[in-house]
Amino acid sequence: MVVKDKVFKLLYDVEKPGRYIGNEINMVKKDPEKVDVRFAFCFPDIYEIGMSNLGLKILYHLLNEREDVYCERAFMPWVDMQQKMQKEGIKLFSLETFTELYQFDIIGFSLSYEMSYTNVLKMLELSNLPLESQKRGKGMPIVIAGGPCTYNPEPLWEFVDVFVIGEGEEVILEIIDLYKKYKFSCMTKEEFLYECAGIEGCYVPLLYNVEYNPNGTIKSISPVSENVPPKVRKRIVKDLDTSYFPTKMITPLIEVVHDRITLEIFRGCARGCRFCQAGVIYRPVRFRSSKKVLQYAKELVENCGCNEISLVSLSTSDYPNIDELAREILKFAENKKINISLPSLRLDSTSLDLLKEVEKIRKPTLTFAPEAGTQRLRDVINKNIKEEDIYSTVRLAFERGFQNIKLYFMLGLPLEEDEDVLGIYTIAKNIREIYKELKFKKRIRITVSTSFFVPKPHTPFQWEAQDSIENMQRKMQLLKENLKKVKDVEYSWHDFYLSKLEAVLSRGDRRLSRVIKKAVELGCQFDEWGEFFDFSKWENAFKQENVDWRFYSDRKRSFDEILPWDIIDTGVTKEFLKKECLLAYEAKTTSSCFEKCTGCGVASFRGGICVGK
Amino acid sequence: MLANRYRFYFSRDFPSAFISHLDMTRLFERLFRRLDIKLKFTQGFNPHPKIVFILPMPVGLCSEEEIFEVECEQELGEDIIENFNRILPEGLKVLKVELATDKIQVRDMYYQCFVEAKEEFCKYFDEFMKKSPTIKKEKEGKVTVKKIFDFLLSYECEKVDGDIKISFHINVVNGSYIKPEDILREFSQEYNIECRIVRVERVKVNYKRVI
Repeated sequence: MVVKDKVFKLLYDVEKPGRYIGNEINMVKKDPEKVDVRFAFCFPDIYEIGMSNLGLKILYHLLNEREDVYCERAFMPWVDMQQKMQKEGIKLFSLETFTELYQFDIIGFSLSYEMSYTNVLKMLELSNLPLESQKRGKGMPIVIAGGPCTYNPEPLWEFVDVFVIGEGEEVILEIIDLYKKYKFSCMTKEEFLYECAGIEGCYVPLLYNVEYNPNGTIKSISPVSENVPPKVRKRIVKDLDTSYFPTKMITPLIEVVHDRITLEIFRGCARGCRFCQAGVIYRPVRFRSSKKVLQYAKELVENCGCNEISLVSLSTSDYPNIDELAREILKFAENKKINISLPSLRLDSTSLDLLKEVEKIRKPTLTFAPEAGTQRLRDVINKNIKEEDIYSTVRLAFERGFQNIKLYFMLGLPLEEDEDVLGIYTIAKNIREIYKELKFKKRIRITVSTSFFVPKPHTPFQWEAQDSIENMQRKMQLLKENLKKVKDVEYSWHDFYLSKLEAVLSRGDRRLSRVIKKAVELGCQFDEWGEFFDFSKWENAFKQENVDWRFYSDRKRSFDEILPWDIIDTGVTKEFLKKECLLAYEAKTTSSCFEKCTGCGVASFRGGICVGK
Repeated sequence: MLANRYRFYFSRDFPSAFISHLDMTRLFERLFRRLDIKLKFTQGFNPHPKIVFILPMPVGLCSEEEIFEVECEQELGEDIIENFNRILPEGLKVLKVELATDKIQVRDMYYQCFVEAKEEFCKYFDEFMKKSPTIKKEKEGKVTVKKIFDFLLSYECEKVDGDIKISFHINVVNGSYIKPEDILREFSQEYNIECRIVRVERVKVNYKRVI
């Protein structure tokens, strides 16, 4: 019986069977026999999360533009489905043609979150493929991985053949070309990997040796031969207007997390928050022209039919004339009953008016992310939000009928004092006061959420220690006790242990690959899902592999320590990061790239707004 | 402007049979938008198109003919069926479109269920059905009990090419009915017999027209 029939026999007995049927609007159909390369795009989470990922959609359609390639998709099956598949002997399959993954030429993973590392291994396991790169010979799929997590690829180094560092639109095509040469000749896998390492943006971990000092820090990272580059430089596309963007975008049949058209209006962020990894790795800032955005918006509506377009970027307000662009889209969107959503908008009176006009949302919610409770700490992290601005915007928002205010903060930032924690309480209290003054009758809700600071590679805070679990707990309690005193405030906080593991995995080195494998053996998967995450299993895995997790999370590192991700070159220099870190210690801010060049080093890419400078 | 209410007849089979009722509404809304057909929307903060399925379809249900009604702010052309079928996902097909001048209600319906089960399934099933069984359902703490034969007009259990086929003729009483899947679940729980449903099909629905 073919895989498809076997799968369909399971669908009456699983949760949300719509995850496993493919068949979506604009799904690409090809004859697998008539292509040279079969590519399985794997997302290490469930369908509803994966199908909300813009990177997946860009690369899926880009690859399928090529006649010689068929790109299909596979997601992590939910546990009920996993059990049924194992019982029936069905291996992980693609949604386009229900082909089991071991039959593909290339398996590409999208790594957007460290917590999905166990799922990556689980997906290989469900495919019956050897986990380790070295155990997969010619004739078995090549496993590649891309996405923001590859900026520290080391924890998965044993399992992935080639990491793609940076934006994949160009590199992936070069890898395909090389793969064809490999597939249709007697080239060995080793030779293939060597040639891959020659493609800019490709990191082949097997071609590097890592040595350690007695204290556990890294002594050296060195290529195994002269032909392998000593550093891997990220790839970017220089011009968003000429680069590929799909307008006949695959549109799910079932509701997914972000159930809307996502249209990218620019890449990169000019702001330079010191904790933010995205702000570094996606540099330089490159805008897509409003002419292109408008054209894409129209085509997307015609081809997908969605009732919402989301204009995405890291900081929407920084798009030149965002008002004008949004209103232009509104002109044709309005009478087709299409909403426009503008996430990550900086809130002030003009943007409020814009929001009111374009976002016809059910319960208007305003979201602020001041990240820290006091001006001093906001200066430390270079978050350019003034408390007075929050208050004046909130006042205007209340007057315009907004009833829900969401506030996002981080606890455990470097240089944080209890005073800063209490500053969060003060902000919530003052917002409630403003509402009281206005004497409105409607109920309001102020939601305060805190996450815990996770030091990330390639940021000015990459050397910092994370708070201990005890400290996290204490600060959360302190805030919780105080917020209880304020009416209409709800407080939620992020899981301590999850933040801890995130810190460990994001700054991990090669020794963690064994731990991750052990964790999977002990039953870890879907770690970002509260109902599955079990830190005790992880602790057990660390213990069995004789690795101390505190070494990765709770330890402050010195500026001259060799970091596991030093092998990756983002264009932003280590000197710049160090300078920024020292400025943070003095609570001195740095201006945005729009005001003046901060000399981060990424201008060497000669793209985006760096060019005229 | 006077809104036109249209009645769409369509069929549903695998793989689209696994789309939920809410997702079906959303899917059709999107297809109308792609075809640039203006629908009538509800008022208020969260406008919804006025698409109503005469019988909501549970996940997994295949059907020879189903109906939804939709209010449009324009007249539909003759090419509407063709245009829809060009863009519908595999498994869905529009059969007929008509202007709805009357209202229709469901009178009774015929189902076929195919299950993978042991040889003696039908024997035990007949035994179960002889005991005038009930379906118990718990929803938000409230338990409802329905007597199967208050709704079931007839049934037949037979073996067809390795699978078991059970046909049901179900009556709609005061707008309420029972689902064959629930009968099968009740049976398999009580008799502790594993039966794997591989296909549920609504073969025919009889409507009555009311003015």
